[in-house]
Amino acid sequence: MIKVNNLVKRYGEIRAVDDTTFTVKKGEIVGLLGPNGAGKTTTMRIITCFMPATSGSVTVAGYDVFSQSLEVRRHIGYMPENVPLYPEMRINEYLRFRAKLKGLRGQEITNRVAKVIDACDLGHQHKRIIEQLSKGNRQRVGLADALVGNPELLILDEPTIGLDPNQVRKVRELIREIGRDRTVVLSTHILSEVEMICKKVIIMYNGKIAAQDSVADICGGTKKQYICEVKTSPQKLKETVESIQLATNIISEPLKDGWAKVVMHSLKDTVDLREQIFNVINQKGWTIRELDVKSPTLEETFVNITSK
Amino acid sequence: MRNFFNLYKRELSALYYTPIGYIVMCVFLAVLGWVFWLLVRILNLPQYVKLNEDVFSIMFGGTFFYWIILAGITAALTMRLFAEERRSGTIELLSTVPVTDLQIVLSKYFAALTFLLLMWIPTLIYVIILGRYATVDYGVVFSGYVGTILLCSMLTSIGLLMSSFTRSQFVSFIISFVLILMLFSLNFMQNIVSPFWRELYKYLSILEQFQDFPRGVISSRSIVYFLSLTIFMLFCTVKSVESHKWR
Repeated sequence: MIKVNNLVKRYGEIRAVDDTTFTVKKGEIVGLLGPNGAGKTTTMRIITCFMPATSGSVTVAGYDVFSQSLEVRRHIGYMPENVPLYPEMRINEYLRFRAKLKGLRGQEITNRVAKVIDACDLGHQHKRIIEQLSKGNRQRVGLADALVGNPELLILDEPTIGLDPNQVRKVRELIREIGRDRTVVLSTHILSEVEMICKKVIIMYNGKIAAQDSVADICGGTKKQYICEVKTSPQKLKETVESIQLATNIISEPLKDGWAKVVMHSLKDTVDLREQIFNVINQKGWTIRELDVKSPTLEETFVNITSK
Repeated sequence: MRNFFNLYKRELSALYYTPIGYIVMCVFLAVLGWVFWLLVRILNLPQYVKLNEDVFSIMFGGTFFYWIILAGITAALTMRLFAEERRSGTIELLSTVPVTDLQIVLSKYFAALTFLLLMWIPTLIYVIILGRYATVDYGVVFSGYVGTILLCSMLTSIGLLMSSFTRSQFVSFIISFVLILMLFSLNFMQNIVSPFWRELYKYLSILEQFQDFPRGVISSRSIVYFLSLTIFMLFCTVKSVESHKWR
């Protein structure tokens, strides 16, 4: 659906997007993550034809964003950051205006507008003037606008910012719903949201892509952590575990109830250490009450990648 | 064409939804009404009656007020067209839907021009009032309005271009107001420049090009002047809007 090749965008001396390459397949929900200023919004703006790239190419549904920009725009529903809207218009009036601009005709306009008003939970206030809406409602109008043209590709720049927890949940449900038969690219700072709805994650840092993969793989890619709780002294436990060749970063500590806890990493991610840990402790005849392996959370991975 | 009408409708209704449209309209009608009253009173004074001047040939372009008010209202009506759109970020909404820059520019231009020309309709009352009490040269009235329409078309295109340069409405207002006044002043400039430049200044001067209309003459030279400058300004506006994407 989207192919980005060696994309570069410079603002004067600053490289906002620096040699970025990624693809988004049809039907994927992709989360674009990164600290502020990482180049997420710029990347989205280039994909939506709002600004051209300094170099590199972007195609959407096979059309080039620079030379076939009108075709590309027909395929995209875009919700910009901060959701700019015309303040003097009423919600339904605004959505009809947008639907027409997106090429809808006649009865289709009425149907689609009614549908998105319903989907975004704006039904009871569709005649309100946009200027008087709360931040959350503006956000939903923006989302309704992105959806109204029934686009194949949705690009949402921070869609849940400023919403209350209930609205966030609704929007998340809506995005998941849309993502069943459509492609969605969204940027956000809320990592739990990405874990819940995105199939694929792209982490940007300083204009470059720092990592891209499925949520499970992106977290699994960094070191797994082994945790074991044994009824013995911390010192003895540590010495025992050190006999495992692949174990590293071993930290052991006493627990309040007289047990000891040891935490370690494996030198090789492909080898599961649990069996060896069990064996060495079992040989000593100690009792084990917990043996676990944990992948770091997306948040830990994110911090790992973006604080280098 | 559909896109054009859709955008045009929104632009025009935005002018009617915001207080600025009404403020401009009130100021305009107040000033013009006052000028009409003033002219009728003055031309009825014994020393002026024998000159046999026509009220409307003075009203269109014959007073300082006509020029200053036109410069002011076109600058005020056009200032928000692009500036506001860029300040609030809604330009991002427009440039990511399948509409061309030309459609955006033309819809904004014609919406502002429509609003501006509709403001002139109430001034037809003066023609009717005067027609009841005196003989009116309807030829002069007609050519005066034609000239005004051409002038408004051109001034609107200047204001639109200035609005596309900035994201501040105030800056847009000031630069288009000053630029329009400078175009007026070319008429006086021609007296102080060398003969070579004089012709050029004379040709570019709005006052010079406008002066036939209040006399009841619609000259093709002036029509070409106003229309060509309008089209040139609109062309520049399209390029200016496009150029935001190059940066």
